[in-house]
Amino acid sequence: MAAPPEIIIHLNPSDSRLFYILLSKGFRMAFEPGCTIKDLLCRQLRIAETYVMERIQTLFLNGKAVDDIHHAIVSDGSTLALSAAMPGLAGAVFRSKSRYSAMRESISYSGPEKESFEGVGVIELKLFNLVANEIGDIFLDRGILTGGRDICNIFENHAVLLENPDNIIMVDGNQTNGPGLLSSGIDTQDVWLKIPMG
Amino acid sequence: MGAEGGPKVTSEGLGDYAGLAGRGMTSAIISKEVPPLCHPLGESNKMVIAPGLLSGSAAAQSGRISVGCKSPLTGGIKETNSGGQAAQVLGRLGYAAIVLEGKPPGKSLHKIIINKNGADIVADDSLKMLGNYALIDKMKDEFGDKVACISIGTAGEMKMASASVAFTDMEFRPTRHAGRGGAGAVMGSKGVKVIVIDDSGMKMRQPKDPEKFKAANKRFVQGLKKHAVTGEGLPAFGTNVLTSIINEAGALPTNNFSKGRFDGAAKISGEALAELESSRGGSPTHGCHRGCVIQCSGTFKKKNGEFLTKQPEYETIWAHGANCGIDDLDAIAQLDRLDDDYGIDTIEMGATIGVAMEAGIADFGDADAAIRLVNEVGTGTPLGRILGNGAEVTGKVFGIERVPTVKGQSMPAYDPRAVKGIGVTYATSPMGADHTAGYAVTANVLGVGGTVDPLKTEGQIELSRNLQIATAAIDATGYCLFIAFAILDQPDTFQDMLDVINSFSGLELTADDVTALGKQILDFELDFNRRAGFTPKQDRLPDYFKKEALSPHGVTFEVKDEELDQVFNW
Repeated sequence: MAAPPEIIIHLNPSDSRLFYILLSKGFRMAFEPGCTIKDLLCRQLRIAETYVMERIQTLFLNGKAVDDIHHAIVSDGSTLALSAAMPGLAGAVFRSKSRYSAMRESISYSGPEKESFEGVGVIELKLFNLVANEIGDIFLDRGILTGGRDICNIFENHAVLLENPDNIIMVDGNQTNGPGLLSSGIDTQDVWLKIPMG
Repeated sequence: MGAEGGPKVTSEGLGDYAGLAGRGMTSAIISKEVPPLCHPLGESNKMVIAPGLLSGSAAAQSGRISVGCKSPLTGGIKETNSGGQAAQVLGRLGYAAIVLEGKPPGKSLHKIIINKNGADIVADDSLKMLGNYALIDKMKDEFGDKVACISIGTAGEMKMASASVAFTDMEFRPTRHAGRGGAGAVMGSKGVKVIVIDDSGMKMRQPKDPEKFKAANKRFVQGLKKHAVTGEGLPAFGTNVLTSIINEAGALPTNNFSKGRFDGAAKISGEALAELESSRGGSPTHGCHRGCVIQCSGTFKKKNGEFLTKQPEYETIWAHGANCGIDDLDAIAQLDRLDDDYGIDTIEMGATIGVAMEAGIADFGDADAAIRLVNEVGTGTPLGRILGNGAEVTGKVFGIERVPTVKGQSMPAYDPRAVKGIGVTYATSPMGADHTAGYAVTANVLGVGGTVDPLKTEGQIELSRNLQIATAAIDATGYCLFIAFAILDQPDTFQDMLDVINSFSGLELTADDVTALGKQILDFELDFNRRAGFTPKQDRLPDYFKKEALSPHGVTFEVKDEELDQVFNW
């Protein structure tokens, strides 16, 4: 199977926020499965421990609310969603280690779904709200696997991306522009997207 | 409104209602003075509008206003509250409540003008069948835009059970609503189209201890601003910050509560909405009343840059979005505008359209059809009159079993099968299915009454009970419920809130007093409902929630009836 195309976009740093929607919709990365969430976030993804402990207040692993990141195990093919603290009763209920966790006990994480973990796996990550704003650029800089159609949608809806001649857009090493990107055929496949910081 | 010789204004001292405000005031009056078996649209029902304890002062976040009545939708007691400017203005005029009583004999509509000289009731049939936006434009021409208005749209005039009461915001737009339970129909039955409140010449209410008040208020504001929810998340994304989270949890009711996840959620998320608003020159950061420091509201503009509506709240995004299979923010914003203009409860309307879609009146995902249906409601077509009376009536007319209501009121944006504790509140709240009834919380209140074992189902009952008590108390203060997370996390901020209340009022409230107040309010409400004929049989979710498993987690609502009956066992 052919490797997905690689898209690298150099743009005005303040415009990277236009791609955060990809982070909340979900993107894929390689990782070592069988680890705890804490290990995944801090060691493998290199997110600062203080950030993980203080800012990421709501986590879902395969749709289940997580209370203990030191013991929740991430398997190959998992989906991990990260969010800042959320408002209201629902926010309080879904928060990690919430005293209201009883209210959602049937959808709380209670253990891994698979027992054996080998080799390299793929995880889908979702970054919501403030978490996307605060650490999204790190992931965009490293590169994410995402849908080409979604990238095309972003360009179509923002003239600042489509028409800015200062943006440098590379598709598999070949430079193009906004309209060129849209007609490159990426809309029917997944792509590796990198938006270098700085 | 039904006095011999024409509508009459009277003014009374507080008497037995001294010390009550907001929901405390509305529920006390309704419970004591409205015959529980009366017809909600008849002369014996009353509509009470009461600002909070601190409204009209410099206390931050104190601009909520409560509306109480016997509900045409549930047949029980109703308190529904709103933001906007009215609480502050009415508070500065020195009124603890407006009470509409009786029923005028003819079909004339009236406007009521309240200012420092008193109140006047004026017949004005030129206001008939005006939407709230056109009505407010007329009021602006007549009174200027420094007044506050409380109004009904066409839905209220037609006495539909989903009719809301609208309140003008800081930009003098009718975007804030006391939505739930059909209070707008009661206002319509009293022949009142609009109440204009003018505090010109009045000063801010002064605290009993100005120095302590100023210091406590400052600390309270600092507490709100430093918290990640109230100081960052809500201002940046508004309440719709919840869509991504609730969808991820599998608790976002989709296609009339048939699934817990919506494929189009990312397109209507708070993240997407904030980005769209900013790109069009709108703002995701905006307060609904002066004195608001959380600023969770916003402005939504059309593609051409014109204002369309306030930033749709999470409940509107859900009701008109995921629940109806619609993933188009422009369409949802248009529906929000129509709800505001016609004066309709956005939750009830979205749930009703979901039932209508299940009945085949429209397809799930058809935004144009949804807009057409809301227009039918607002213009009073025969189909519109069915839909305008809520999901339960619509379900009966079209023979649909899957109607997500409790006590006749539609469930909001959290599926009770996934979050059972919220389901307990839906089932047992005297208000009907209501998410804000058990919404606020304080660390101190939860410490009262012992600890909760999270492994037992009883934990859900205890939690729902304590949350409902705390919410009732907060609703009496006029404080916006979104202070809840900050006061939960930061005990100092909770104490600062108490200090603000005490230094303003001269009281010495403690956390135990807050609990007692909340219980007192709930006692008023439960007593009224019992006398109105409610039994524990009404404290139940529809049967299909126990049988139909919700995807993606395959869960049902398993809390036993005997446990539900323990919620109010004090």
